[in-house]
Amino acid sequence: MVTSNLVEVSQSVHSMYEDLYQRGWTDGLPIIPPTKELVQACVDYVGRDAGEIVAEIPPAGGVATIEKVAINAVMAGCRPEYMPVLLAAIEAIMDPEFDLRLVQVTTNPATPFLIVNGPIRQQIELNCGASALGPGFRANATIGRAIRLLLLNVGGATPGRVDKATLGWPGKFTMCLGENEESSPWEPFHVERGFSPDQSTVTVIPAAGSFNMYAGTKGEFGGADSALTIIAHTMTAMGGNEIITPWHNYPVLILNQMHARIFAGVGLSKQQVKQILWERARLPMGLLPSWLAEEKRGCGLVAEGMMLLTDKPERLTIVVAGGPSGLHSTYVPTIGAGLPPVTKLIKIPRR
Amino acid sequence: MSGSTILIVDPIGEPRISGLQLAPRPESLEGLTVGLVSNGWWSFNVVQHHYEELLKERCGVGDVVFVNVDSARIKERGFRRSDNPSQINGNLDAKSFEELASKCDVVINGLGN
Repeated sequence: MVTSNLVEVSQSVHSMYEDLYQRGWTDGLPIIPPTKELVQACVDYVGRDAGEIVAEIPPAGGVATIEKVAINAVMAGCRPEYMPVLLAAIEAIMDPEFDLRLVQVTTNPATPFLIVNGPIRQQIELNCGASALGPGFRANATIGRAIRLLLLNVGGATPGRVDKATLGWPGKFTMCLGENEESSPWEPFHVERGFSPDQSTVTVIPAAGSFNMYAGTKGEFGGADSALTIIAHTMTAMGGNEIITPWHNYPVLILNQMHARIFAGVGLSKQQVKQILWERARLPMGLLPSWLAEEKRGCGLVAEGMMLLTDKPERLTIVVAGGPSGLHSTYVPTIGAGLPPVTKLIKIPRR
Repeated sequence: MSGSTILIVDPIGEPRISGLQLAPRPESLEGLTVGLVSNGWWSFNVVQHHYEELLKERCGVGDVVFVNVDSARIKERGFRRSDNPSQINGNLDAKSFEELASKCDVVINGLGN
């Protein structure tokens, strides 16, 4: 049973928006009013006690119960059936490997980027295809937004005061997609990480931006050679935290299905693609500012006069998503800081 | 609830520990020992001694104790700079905490970057 305090607000949409904005309960956008009935429906869907504690979200340490998750989910516009994804995503961002406290307060613009795999994508109509990182799809838009509202309303990451992001970026409103497993020539990302194809998972990554790459495919090796070179050199953008920070970092690529098929078409496995990208994503040490060169030498990330992106290709993440046309793939710079992707099982309630 | 209003549920999650009080603030720093906790970020080692100078010159602070946040997890994660450990988001270890508690009248936390 929902037990949180009830607050009386105007029924007028605009007045309510103004009221809740002034209370600091929103991300700046209008919200769906979390009435007791709507919240109860979300709680009922997962079949767990409303008061069960799911997390204490840093830095404020606010207690996220099933009920608080449901309230913020309703506010974000979620359907009840999105709740299992949200709960798994919270479990993932609360994993110590993700270092949520850092992500919440840093000057870096990092935000949890949610990647969903498995059958739940179809069940909740999560977009994996065209515009998977863009507007127009309720599940993608509202699941990511619900996480942000929880980070604000329970984690206390008030922008400017606690969340010290110098600029932030629009991905902090919402960032969620599904892998386009059906269009990928390779095994799904969650299977690569040890789950079975019939399980559903969510993976979180501390994303600091989105770098579109038009990676043309003219020329040798069925065009793969050209695309791999373009992608590799995009990943060496010097200002990215993967390059600037002295840790074992985990670069992330969202490959569109055309690139993936072109690579697979010339016989490359996902691991081989990672290997080639790792071999090519290097910078001449002479290009680096002296302090950065010294840093990289200290880290052992130098080979034959070239700076290595990271110490081994296995640290690269490759996920396939997007529509069927256009040679656009995306490099997702992260906070660096040695934070790996974290994947959790989505537990579907028995009905 | 009147006809033009509705009831909604409060989305704020309060911390389990509540009612913590701030430590009493001294009226002056004159002659006191001040602890400075560094988060170990790159820029802090550049400015920390300026803080010491300013605290002594402007506030008459008697002594300044520097303590670096340490994090074993960060060390496991990657590399450390030899001259300035790059640690972020670590927790103050018990030994450092005790050092601050025993030596300092005032501790300033949260500096860096």
